[in-house]
Amino acid sequence: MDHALELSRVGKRYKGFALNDVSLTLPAGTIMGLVGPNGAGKTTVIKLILNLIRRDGGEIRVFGLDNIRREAEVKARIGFVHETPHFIEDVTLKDLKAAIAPFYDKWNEGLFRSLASEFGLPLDKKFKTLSHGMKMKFQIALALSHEADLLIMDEPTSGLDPVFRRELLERLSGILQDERKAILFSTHITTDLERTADIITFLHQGRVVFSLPKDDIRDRWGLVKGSNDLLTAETRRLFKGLRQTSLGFEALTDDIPAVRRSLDSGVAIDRASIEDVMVFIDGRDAHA
Amino acid sequence: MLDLIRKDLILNKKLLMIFGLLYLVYLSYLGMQVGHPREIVVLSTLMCGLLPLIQYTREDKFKAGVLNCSLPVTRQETVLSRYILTWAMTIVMYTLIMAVIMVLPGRKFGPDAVFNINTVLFALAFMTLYLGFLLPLILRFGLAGMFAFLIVLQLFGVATLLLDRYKVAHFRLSSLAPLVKKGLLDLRASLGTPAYDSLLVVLMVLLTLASFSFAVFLYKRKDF
Repeated sequence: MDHALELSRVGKRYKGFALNDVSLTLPAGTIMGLVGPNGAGKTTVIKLILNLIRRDGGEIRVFGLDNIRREAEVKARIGFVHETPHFIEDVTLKDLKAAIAPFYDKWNEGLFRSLASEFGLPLDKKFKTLSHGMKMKFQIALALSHEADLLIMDEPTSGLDPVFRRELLERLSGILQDERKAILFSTHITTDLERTADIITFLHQGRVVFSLPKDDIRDRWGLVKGSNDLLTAETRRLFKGLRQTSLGFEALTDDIPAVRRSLDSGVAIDRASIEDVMVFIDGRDAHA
Repeated sequence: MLDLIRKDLILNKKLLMIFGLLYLVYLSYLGMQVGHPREIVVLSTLMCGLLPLIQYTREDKFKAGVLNCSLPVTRQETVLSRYILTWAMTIVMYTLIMAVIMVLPGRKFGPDAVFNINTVLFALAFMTLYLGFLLPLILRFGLAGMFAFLIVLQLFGVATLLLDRYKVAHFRLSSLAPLVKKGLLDLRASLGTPAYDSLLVVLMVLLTLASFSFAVFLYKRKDF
């Protein structure tokens, strides 16, 4: 299978934060959701892919091309949506489009006009007069109009109303009718991931906790509930996160069969949602 | 390359037109008032060079550099396009202002005073020094780079005054200019005018290339 994106041991150091040995692979024809709490490094990963910030180590390849040595070629194939739209604000949408479109050989003017009309974008208005949601829609229209092979979207659904959010997610899934394309998007809204993503990559404190197909997470990750007397040093090792109250414990595991073998009928096991995984890993060994 | 230049022109067209017109009116008026062509040449060079730089500080203000760096171009191409655009705009604006001054009634000097090889080289040398130092700083640090440049110049001036006043060292900027002028005249006398002019052009090109390389070095290290 061809890879749209490969990150190998990528690192970036800031004062007080470091992205360490981030490795992930996004096959063509799939959608990857990048998830993690605030400050986990999601935006940093996206900026590194686009060479908006310099990496301290590792390698990034987009469709097999090094993202720095073949920067222009790589970026011609990427459609990018930034979490905070940054354009020169006192310019009309029409002028912004006129400035950006010539950079892309595959620019599809008909598609842009159709998206602008569908999204209700006022092309004669200045960018600064738009709401955050409309600014995001404009960015999305630009990113989709040059028929990019890889869409990279940083929190694309933030500030969007639920109806448009769902339409966007459906549109993203539709893009993958062409199996040469791929999508990477970060979000806090875990229901978006459940609905759309094929692969979930979970980042926490600058490290990849896991990067797995959504179905694997569904099969292997679970929420375990039981009484406190079942907790021993050995059983605790089965858990990725644990919450204890005087009434009992609730824990996250990535190995449901192992928990079943060790604790058998003494516990109740439910499938873990992505939000459960986020909450538990972010607050490991929390005691309520 | 052309796409980058076109992008900067489209996104800043209103600002460039308004400021361009203001500069034209103001400097043309001044051109009729001043008696010595060098004064208007220096002032015009300074202000014409500032015009294209304003657009880059706007990008910094709106944090729009992210857009630039997500487009399918290299950072070196971005810097190159900005050097070309800055030089082209500065020269076109300067020439336009000088041409307008020459057709205005009441001017105190004629076309020969500004459209001769010495004055043109003087204006170009001034642009080279001014843009050569300022452009890399503006492209890397935005407005802060421009202010830093001006503050460093001010501090340099204050330092030389203090050194001179407390007799630590005898170094006055006002005495530097005649020394430089004498040195250049001596050089011209020994080389002959054509060789001297050619050498000056070569030095300006080399300085601009050095400035460009430094700007690329800085811009490649800029995080957005």
